[in-house]
Amino acid sequence: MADPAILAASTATAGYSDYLAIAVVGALAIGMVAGILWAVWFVTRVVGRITTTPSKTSTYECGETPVGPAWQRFNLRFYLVAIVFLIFDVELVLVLPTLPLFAPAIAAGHGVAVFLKIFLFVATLLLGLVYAAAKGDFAWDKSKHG
Amino acid sequence: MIPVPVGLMIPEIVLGVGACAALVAELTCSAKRRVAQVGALACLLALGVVVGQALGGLGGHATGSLTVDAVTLAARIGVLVATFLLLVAAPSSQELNHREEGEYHLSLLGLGLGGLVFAGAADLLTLYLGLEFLSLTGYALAGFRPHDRHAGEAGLKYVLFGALASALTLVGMSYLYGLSGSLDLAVIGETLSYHGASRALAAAALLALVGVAFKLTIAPFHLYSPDVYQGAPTISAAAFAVIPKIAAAAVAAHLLLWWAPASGHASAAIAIAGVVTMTVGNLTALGQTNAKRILALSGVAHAGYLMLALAVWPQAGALGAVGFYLLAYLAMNLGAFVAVMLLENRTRSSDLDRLAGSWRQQPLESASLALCLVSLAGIPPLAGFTAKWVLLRSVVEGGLAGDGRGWLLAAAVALLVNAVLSAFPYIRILRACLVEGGDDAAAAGGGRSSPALAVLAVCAAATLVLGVAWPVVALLRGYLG
Repeated sequence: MADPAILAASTATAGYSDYLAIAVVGALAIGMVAGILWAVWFVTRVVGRITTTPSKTSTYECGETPVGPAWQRFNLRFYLVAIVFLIFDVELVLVLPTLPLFAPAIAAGHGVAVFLKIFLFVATLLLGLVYAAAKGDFAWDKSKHG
Repeated sequence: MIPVPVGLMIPEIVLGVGACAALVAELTCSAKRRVAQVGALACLLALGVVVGQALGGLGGHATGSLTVDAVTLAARIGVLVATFLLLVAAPSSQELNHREEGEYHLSLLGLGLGGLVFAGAADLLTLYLGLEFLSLTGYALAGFRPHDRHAGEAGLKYVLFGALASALTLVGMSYLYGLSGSLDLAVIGETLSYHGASRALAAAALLALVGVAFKLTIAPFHLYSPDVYQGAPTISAAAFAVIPKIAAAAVAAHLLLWWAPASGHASAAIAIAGVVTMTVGNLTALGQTNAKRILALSGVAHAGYLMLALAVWPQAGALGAVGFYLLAYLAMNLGAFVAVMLLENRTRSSDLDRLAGSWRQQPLESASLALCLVSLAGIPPLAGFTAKWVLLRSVVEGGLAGDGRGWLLAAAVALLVNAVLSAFPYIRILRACLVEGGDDAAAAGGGRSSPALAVLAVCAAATLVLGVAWPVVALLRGYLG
């Protein structure tokens, strides 16, 4: 049920004084970043008289002379691996909190049923993993999988 | 949170198991249409369960995060029928790359599953889950042709608009939760009526509705639809035009049931949104030269008509009018899209000048398309006319009911004007297909494909039959109220 106290508190705040604090914090944050940037610029460019040359601004490629533009297609070989990893990451987040919930049932001797319930969820995701593997999404050399 | 009885979720479970089976079929079968067949079978099974639940008197049942009442059951039937028909027709499309075709059918099945979840949502979590389920499968369906620039554009636009709508919905939901202290939509409704005048609550509720408006293509959240429908494979466009809209209409009806007593002005707001949406849709459609764009904007206009019917609530028969309208819309719109798909198989384009003279090469498809378009325009004695008539009667009855909503009569006039206006874009497609002479050299290719033709025949027959199906109207009015 809706908590009347929460409602009263939320609707009673008709004034905007709370937002003043947020505004002050925001101004401080912007001011701090701008100040640090200015300080770095002042110390290096004005005090230290560091200059910019074309070779300094060029892309650093481990000491090699840069060749060609960086605007090209990169191999997305592992993006599917990343996606599948993300799914199982979320799976872990979803499975772990169920354990305290199921703890009384496990204590009462229904461990097998609990295992099957959780496994049903994991098995669905496992099927997806098998599918991705069968489609060759984890193969380094995709040409072998047609 | 109260756990949902497993019995209420059997349709979703059947479809989920069906999706797993379809996944296995995709891996093991070389003929990718097997995937669609497995999916269609799962849809039929789930449909049987839902019809059984409806006949078994399961109604007014609200538990926890899922509500299974008359509205949900009707929407589930609509979603499952649409998914089944689309899965039967999809393998006939020549737009799909045959190696990846199985995954397309899987995504289509996923869209159906998302529709089921969305239609039955009774709390904010399920609502958002259903919304994202519909969206994510929809993005995959929209951008399915990987090397097609239009498909890429469609997919990206759908993702960007969807992400924006999703973000706004989430902001609204977070405020609703913060202000009411509950995820349950009915409890939030009580809070709304308790603090009806609170601007914060009203703004939060409005923001939370953006996702529903996005799926229903209510102006101004309709802007993505012409581009997405044009670039996406035609079967995807057909799916977007039907499945999310049926599910979102069910959500809108549920929200009316739970929220509307709270806000006296909701009815006027919904009616204004409806009139704006139908006018924008019909006016934008006037200048279009692509059949799929015209159908997309016609879908926007039809969403506007639906909103008007929802605005009449709590007048008796309002939800029945919505239900019958969606049923007729399902038949004629699916028929029109499947016909366009079959014509496109030959012409490789849905531009009107490329469709010119289609009646010579594909008389059956052209005739069915004509039937569906005439019905969409609302010409008697077809389904579209009857649906509009029922809707109009409901709106006029609401205006005459004497509960201070006389302005509904003005909305009824707007509906009539729009019904006339909406005919012109359809006539452009008809003229291109039936009247203009085409290039006979383009006769090659395409070819008949019986499953899609069967779907087209079913849709055309339903369009004819629903035009005189007054018992169905009475049944829906009695069932939905």
